[in-house]
Amino acid sequence: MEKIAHSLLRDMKTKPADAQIPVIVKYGKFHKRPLETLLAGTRPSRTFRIIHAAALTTTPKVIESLSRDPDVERIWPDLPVRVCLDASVPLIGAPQVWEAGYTGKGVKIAILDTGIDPYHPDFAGRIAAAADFTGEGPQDQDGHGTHVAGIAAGSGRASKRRYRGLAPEASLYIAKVLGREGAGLMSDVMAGIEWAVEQEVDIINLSLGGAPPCDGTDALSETCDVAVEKGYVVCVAAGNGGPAPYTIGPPGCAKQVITVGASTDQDEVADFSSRGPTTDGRIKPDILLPGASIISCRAKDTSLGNPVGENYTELSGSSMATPHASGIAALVLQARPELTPAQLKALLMETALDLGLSPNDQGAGRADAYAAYLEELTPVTPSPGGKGCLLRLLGL
Amino acid sequence: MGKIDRSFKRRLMKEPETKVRLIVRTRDEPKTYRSLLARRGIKVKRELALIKALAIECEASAALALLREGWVVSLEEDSEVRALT
Repeated sequence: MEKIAHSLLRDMKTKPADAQIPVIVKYGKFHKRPLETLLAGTRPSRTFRIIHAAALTTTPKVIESLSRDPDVERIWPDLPVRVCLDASVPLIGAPQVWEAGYTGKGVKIAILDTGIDPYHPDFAGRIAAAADFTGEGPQDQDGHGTHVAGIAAGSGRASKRRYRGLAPEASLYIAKVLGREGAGLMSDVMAGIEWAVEQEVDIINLSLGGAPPCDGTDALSETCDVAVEKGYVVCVAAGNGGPAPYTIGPPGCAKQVITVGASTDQDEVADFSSRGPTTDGRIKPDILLPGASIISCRAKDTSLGNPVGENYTELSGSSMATPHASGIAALVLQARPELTPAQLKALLMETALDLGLSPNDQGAGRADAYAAYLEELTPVTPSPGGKGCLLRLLGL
Repeated sequence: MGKIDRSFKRRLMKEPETKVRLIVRTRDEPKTYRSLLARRGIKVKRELALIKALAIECEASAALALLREGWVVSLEEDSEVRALT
């Protein structure tokens, strides 16, 4: 079964036994059997030579039997290529949430980063406020912040919705805390967080970090935790120091934030994604989300990443995984505004797809927008005096 | 934990004339200490209200002197953070 991609396994479990599922089967270069024998009598619709593989449509039972064949190396779902969407957004179930009527409308996302290109068509009419903490002005001269904002909330207008972000109708609050070289000081980020709190945003996105390791007691991490306690959802990048352990830097080690590592479109943890634990022994990251080869908005006159035309560019990093989390948070908060940051974090973790890796590699697994949206949260009844049952029994 | 990380303190002691950027956590509202620091020639860059702190810039020797102040809860380096691509 481990030869079957996680997303395909999940698909197989939800489909009837006689369902026809399109797959791509990769087999060993040196097998000596005729292809139809190897593919359990199923005729491939296409064969490939660059990788030794065949595309075919078959049942979950045949897929399982193929996975036991020693000549078969890997089986992936043959996903439809949609002209309206990039790969990561459908992978994590956002289109189903949009179809249910939730696009982040009315939710405020603060992006604390290198600024934004305010004239990019994908943000038209949705930048509610901007502030500069670098002295350079709010314009994005690096490109990182524009890319991050596009993942969280780009409308995809300049790409006929192909590169649409997670919450395409959310409002954006832009704090420029990193300069044109993509660097800044902890205190600039802390000032940006205070500004976001003053603006009464709902979600704060931090696709940035300092040198690892850390234990969550530094000033920036504690500022993040205070913001969470005040009711703000804070999504933070784990870092790009993987695959070694103890590679999460501040503020990724903050206790109450949602720390986001990077996965691939094949639902594997990205090698570069930082790993836990924190130096005080806590498990991190909390979740994974796609962060490899993500195409999103390109700021004017910047050349960061691999440009894809005038308006988009491709970047990799836990910076890219983090706004996926902020975008999911915006969709879920629009549907269920009563959720506290702690409840939202628990919801994302409980509904994440377990990739079967160590908790310090994957956290709870790869988060899923649709699963989080669907999950019924057990109502939380506040206890008298705000204390738990045991403390009340003890009279404390 | 004390007011300062030991290895950071050693760095400050080793080069007392070096300019350093610090985050000072304060016992009371940070604005209370602004003028006091200014009188000592310490530049206050930001007041940070969420955790009661000040971002300052001064010589390492002046930073070490702050450790003797009762209102100083802790001192740490105002470290660099970077975009994570």
